[in-house]
Amino acid sequence: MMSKHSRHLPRVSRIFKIFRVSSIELKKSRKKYSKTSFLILILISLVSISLLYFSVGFGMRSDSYLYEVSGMQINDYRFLNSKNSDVHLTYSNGYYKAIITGTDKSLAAVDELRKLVKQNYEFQLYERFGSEAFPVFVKAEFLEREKVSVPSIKNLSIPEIKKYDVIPEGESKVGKGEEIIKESLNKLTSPQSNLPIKQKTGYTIPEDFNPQSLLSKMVLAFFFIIPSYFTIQLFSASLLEDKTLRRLDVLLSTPLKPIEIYIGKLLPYLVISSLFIISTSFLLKESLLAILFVLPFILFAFSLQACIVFLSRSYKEMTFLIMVSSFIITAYLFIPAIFSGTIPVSKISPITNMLILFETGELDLSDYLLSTSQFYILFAVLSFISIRMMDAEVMYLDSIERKVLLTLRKWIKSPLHCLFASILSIPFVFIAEFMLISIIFTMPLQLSIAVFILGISLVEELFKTSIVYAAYKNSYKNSGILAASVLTAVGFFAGEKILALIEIGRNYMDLLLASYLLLPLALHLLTLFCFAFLIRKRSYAIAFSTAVVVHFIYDYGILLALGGVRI
Amino acid sequence: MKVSVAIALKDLGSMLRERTFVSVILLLIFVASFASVLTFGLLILYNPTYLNILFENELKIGVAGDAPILQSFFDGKHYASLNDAFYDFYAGKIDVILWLPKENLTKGSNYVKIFLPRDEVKSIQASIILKKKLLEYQDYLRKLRGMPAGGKLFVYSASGEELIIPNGISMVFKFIYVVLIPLMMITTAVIASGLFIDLITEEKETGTIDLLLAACKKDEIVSGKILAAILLPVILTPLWLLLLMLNGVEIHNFFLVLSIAYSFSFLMISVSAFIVTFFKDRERSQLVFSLVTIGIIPVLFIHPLTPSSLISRLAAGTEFGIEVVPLYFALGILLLFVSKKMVRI
Repeated sequence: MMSKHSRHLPRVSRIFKIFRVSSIELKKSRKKYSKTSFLILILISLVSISLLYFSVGFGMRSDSYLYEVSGMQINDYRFLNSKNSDVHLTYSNGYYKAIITGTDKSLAAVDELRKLVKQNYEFQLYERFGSEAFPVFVKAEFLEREKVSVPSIKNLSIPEIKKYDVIPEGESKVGKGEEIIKESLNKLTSPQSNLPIKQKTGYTIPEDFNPQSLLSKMVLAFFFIIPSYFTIQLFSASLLEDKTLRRLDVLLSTPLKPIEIYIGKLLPYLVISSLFIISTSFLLKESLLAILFVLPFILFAFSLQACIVFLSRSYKEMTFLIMVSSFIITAYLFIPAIFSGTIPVSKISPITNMLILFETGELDLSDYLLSTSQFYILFAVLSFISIRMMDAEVMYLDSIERKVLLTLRKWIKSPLHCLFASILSIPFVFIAEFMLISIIFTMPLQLSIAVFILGISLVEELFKTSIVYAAYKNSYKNSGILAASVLTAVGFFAGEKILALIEIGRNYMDLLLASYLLLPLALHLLTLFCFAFLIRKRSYAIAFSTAVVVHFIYDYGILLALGGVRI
Repeated sequence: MKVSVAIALKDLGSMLRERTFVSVILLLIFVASFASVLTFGLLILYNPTYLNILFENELKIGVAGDAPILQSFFDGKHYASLNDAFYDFYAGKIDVILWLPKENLTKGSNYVKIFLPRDEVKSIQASIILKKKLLEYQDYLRKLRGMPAGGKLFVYSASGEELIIPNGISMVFKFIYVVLIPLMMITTAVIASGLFIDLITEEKETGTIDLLLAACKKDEIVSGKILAAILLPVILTPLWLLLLMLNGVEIHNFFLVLSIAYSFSFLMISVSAFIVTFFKDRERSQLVFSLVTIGIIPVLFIHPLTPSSLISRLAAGTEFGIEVVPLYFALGILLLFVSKKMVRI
């Protein structure tokens, strides 16, 4: 009755209601965060930031005295002179000689020593011959090149040519070279990581010439994301408290709709997060457009944590689920960005595109939409699920599986809904499968590929069969389950093809063997028909396991037929 | 004591029932596997010689300008003008252009401009090959200018056989001992501390603490909660160490490594106990704990005697600072004891 009544309220009134919920949320926080505790929080934050700043300034030295050397005194913090050494070092006729024990530590030690010996040589040359000891300077420029066919070469326009006809003034002056050498030699004396640093815009000596990378800017991205994590944590903690103390039940019994409660509770934290992002832009003197790249991810993180609050049954469970999910989504956000400028798949991360904006000042709309649309979709779907779970019938159940199933059943009211649900599940499947790539790096190659394919089968069948199972439970028991299976398979296939249409997706889908015409559709139909057949006679576990086995055999068979996987 | 053990087992039992334990193990596996992805990804991209995947012959190089010696090093196609080289570059006939208008062999500097394709894996491969060749070119010019050769380290086995050690091997070693092992230690400690905050605040906020207090003493409840939080790292640490060993990682000084990891977990649980005593509710306690952790973690990496540096070195087999290990353990136990007395429920 109340819900029907509220549907007819003017839109302005609904917005007012949302603000009312937000103001209640703020009042609640004000009670909890008295002036004293707020000041203590500020103080703790300042101390933590200072410690972070101090540590970065001090330099990472946890590899101090890691290697043991005998024979010669090494003036480097990583080496310890010891009788039980891994490396015995000697020097004669201008060359260094190392005798090693053959352990992993001794091999690593000589690799580090080799760099020190080279650096020492460079110093000596500079002291003796000055800048003449460095006869080569390098500068790289990266140019976008379209793939063009040979007959169209004549039509190529190469606008950059003119500006390279002369060497820019000052670059050939000796003084400039002297500066580069000094800078480079000074760098050698300070502890530095082995990770490649950003290619400098100016000339460098060949030793400093490294592949193009935005790694050095990566720390900036952390400054944009991390402060928002605290507001997300506050939001989920507040929501959990409201759920545990049954305040949500009270709110839900008022004319307020669940969506209004959800948005109203989210809004203050979202505003604080946005202010953090804008402030970071000002503090770091970077583009204010950064918010366009960070906000979609933050929205997704908010909705994910809301979902976890409603799914979890205790504080412990929520804490650990949030830890795991935060780690996964942070890895999903940052890992592709580490490979920025090198592989196209790096552009699925908004961080890559934000760093490119910082570096070049240019915003590529198609890249932007490609990287952020997935997060907007994820936010919409997770928010929708969370709102559906804001129901006493669901959120206090003692089983996560039952919560998920009941929520899906509240959503999937007809077989046609299976189509939309399966299309919308694709971003989740994409993230899960992208994360599964890590398996390849953690075990022997032959085994890892089989485990990787098994992981893919598990993820895809979990999503597909959950949708069909919800439809089945909603009493489409006979012909309905077949329609649900067909529409879920078609939806999943359509979702995959949308991804495959995007260039980055295409590169990725090669890995997932999903770009082979209609074959994936046949697979999805086959596994879901198996599931539909078995679910009527057996348990979900048996029907699901059969679908996974069929999926695995199919994928592995295709892989063997193709003679390997292209990674 | 019996009551405390029963409380601890009850909490751990509920974790097993809720499969929270599974998510803890998952978290540790994710931390390890993503750290591996990062390292091997970076190795593949930036140090492919280590993995023997550098495709030198597949790279087509063009050299523009009057630089015959430079050209001889790259075995590239010569272009009289940069314009001609650009046409071939954009047509995909060459992958890289090196431009040196005039070569200075015996005196002066050579400013080489390199044009590479943007957003192509090839440009990474090219950068690595170019660096190697440019260093050889630099050595050649130095020789022409009468400078002595040097800067080489020859490596031999104990039997006198000369060994070729791939570049970048230290990166993998340091990743395992300096990054992964401390990271696992920190993750385990943070999990245990977060658990302790939840164990205390959940009882208070759901009102079940009153029921517990009706049956047990305050001291027994706190001891039980601390014991549950301690048992988690006590079980998890040997587990991840054994997993690393099964994966071929050599762990030296096993019990000292275990001791340092336990000590750090005890310290962090004590920190969370202080926090939950002052802030009382879960929301503020977890927030403050996150803020404090952000400050503590980087400090762990700046000094040779911090738990992070110690665990790296001990696991790698270097025993520098070994005398500090019992001190950390004693401090951890002492702080746990203080926490037990201090926590109010």
